[in-house]
Amino acid sequence: MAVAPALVALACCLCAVVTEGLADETYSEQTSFITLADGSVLFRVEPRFDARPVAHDHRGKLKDGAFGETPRGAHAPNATANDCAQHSSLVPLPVRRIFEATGAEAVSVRLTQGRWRDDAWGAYPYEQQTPMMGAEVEATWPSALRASVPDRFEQLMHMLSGMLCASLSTITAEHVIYDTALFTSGSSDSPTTTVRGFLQREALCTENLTPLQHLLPCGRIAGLASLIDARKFFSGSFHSLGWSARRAHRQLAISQRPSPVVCAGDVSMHVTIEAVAADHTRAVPLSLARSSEHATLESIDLGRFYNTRTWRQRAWCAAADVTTFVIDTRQQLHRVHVNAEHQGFARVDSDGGALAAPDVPLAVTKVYIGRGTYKGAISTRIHNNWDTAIAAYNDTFVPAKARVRPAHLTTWTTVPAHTTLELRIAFHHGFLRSSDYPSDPFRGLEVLPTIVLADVFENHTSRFISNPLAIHMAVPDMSMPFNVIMLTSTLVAIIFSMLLTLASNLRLPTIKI
Amino acid sequence: MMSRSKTQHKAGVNAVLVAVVVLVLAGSLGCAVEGSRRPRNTATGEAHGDNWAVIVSTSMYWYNYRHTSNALVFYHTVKRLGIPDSNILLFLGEDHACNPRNRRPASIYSSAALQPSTAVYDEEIEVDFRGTEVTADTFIRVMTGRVSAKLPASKQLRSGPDSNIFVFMTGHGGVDFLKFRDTHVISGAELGDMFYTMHEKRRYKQVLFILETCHSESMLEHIRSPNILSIGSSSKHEDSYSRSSSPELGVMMVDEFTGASMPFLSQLTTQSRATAADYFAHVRRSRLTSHPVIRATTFPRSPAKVLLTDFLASTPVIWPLDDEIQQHLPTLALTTA
Repeated sequence: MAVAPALVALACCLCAVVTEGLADETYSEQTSFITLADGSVLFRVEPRFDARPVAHDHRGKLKDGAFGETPRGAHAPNATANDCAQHSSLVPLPVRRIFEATGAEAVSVRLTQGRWRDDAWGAYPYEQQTPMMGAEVEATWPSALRASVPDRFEQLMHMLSGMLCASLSTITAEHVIYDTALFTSGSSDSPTTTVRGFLQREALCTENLTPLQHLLPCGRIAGLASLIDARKFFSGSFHSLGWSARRAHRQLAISQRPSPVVCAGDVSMHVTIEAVAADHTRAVPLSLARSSEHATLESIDLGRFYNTRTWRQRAWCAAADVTTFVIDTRQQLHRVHVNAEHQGFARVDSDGGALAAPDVPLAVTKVYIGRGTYKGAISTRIHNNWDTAIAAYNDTFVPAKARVRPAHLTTWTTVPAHTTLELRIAFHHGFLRSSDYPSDPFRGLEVLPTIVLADVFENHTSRFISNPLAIHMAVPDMSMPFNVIMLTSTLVAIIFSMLLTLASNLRLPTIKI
Repeated sequence: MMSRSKTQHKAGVNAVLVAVVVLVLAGSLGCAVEGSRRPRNTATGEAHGDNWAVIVSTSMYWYNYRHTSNALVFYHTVKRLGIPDSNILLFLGEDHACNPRNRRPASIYSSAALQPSTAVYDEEIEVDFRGTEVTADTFIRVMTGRVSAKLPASKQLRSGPDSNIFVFMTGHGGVDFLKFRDTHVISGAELGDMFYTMHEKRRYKQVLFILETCHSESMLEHIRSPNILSIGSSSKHEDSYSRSSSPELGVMMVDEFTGASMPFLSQLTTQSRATAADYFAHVRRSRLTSHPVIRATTFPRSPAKVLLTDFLASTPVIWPLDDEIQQHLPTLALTTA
């Protein structure tokens, strides 16, 4: 297995602590560039909010109604009005409303376009699990609310679709899996009900990126997220946007991750990173890509910014002082470290040590076997590239209950070294209603990729995703005009020849004289 | 006994008359008070409350790039003229901006020149319904307010009896129908019923409806609800056509009607006095292949007296509620004017 080298990475981390009554609120940002094996650049920005309850606002008064208007039908069994009032202004209002209305304990969304290519890029180099093509939503509720979870999940989909401009409201019961222990990303002390919804395909564009940026304190005006140029971002062959939030012990800690983008081949990135804080100005060379340009890191005075209230934040962001340090990405560098502090409010850590993307221990492929669409099988092949056996959880296809629930199978398997495990599930043709056909039937029916979870690294469960499948459907032959012309011509020729034959063989009455 | 009953009867009639007079007076007084509290749009001269825009591109597939472009031209215009995204419902049947075939990712242009000045896909764009969500059923439900209570407010048309609504639809159509993503259609009768329901539910004050599709007049003929001014890109038995092909993208960039509208729309400001008649005359002068039509049969005023900014722009005025402030209303009105 070829080692997937990541030549150099730059990681900038910024932490700001809010004072004046909001001392328990923190906001941090982190970004990284990783050069992958084939010369592509993986770029990620990860902002993070951590908001803890505070009893008083900056004027020393008890905050009342900080959540603003409660949405219709909102009912949050776990969140009282006092809880709501205790949250700080850094937590975006739409996020608070989601937790108020649905009573969820944790919510995460990921929208992805393109497939993470294990073979070319190596294993996904972050702690988060490899993003799957389409849309994924995971939400957790206390088990006490299990009876009302389907209704709450539907409400959640509508609210998220409004907040992120995504088609998540089209996630219906047949796209939802309940209580799949394999998927739960975090552990919880109390029993919970986890719901996971999928969309095989989700268009991803600026209208999804912009709402995420709006959730940040400075929106698109400043901050690391402002370096995302939508035109560059969506020119990548793989891009993914994520957002997650969690409530724990009456606290609302929010982590938002608009990340990452991969640009294949020669990359010409012009990156401006703002809001890295401090007066520190320094030129740092970095090998980013073969033909990349200068990257500029600019900073603002975050101390002033975080002392302002919500409605004034944007003005402060725009008017903030800016200092700059420049990175020449055309030069080689193997170690970068920047550490600066500003007035005790903000800290910058930048560590560009070489990050090596790990080898891919498992290769998962999915193929369609059979002729036509009447009868066949879907085969999932899991190949262990390592010299040791790997215990893998496999989540793949089983026949679904038509129009009620999705296909789903969970197994626990040990794959010996250098062997391939094949799971083959046969299927036969079923009757499709007209409403079952997708709006573009020529694209075929999409079958979700197989997801394999494996404990291959210490204290970390990795997720490996196969390719998805598209099964062709019985659709009208669009070469119809050709067929019509051919059939009509044949018919005309037959009729004409018959008439001609009749005419030539016609026995005229002979008159004998 | 008879005279007594007559007297009682007369007294009863008088009481009823007095009650009626009192009620009428009270009603007129109430109306007057209410009328004085109604927002007056002094900039346009026509009183209305808020402005809403519903912009729909119904087509899928890459080669229908021009339909998304049409919709975004109007989206760009209403947004430039001050209608916020919260009051705009944008339906895009296909993701053309980030389509893998788009050599200019995250961009849509309304001209083959592909200049930044012709880019209509804003960085601040908010698409409310897209892809498979764009169906005739969804559209009708949103317009008539028959939506799930769980639908977020940003995806609802929360207009009222004082609202002016601008509706623009573009896509492929035929006589009496408009296709939605090649899967569903909305018929002319359904469109007419939809506006009728909106009228019955008092969801609008006035509507400017522009339909850019083949045979668009055939759809407009079904609209019989009051206060709707409708413009179609073609007459009943005509096709609508596109223009401005881009060699780089390999698609037509915009349709003729929208293309002809663009210079006019780009000149509009919130203070413009241009009327619907001016706009229609401009489009007619542009020598389109088709013949645009305007129907004002159910509209109380001539198109020459309908300001476009009544529908395409948000010209908010301060509406004083406090009596103390109301004493200064003439001053404020003068200032606003």
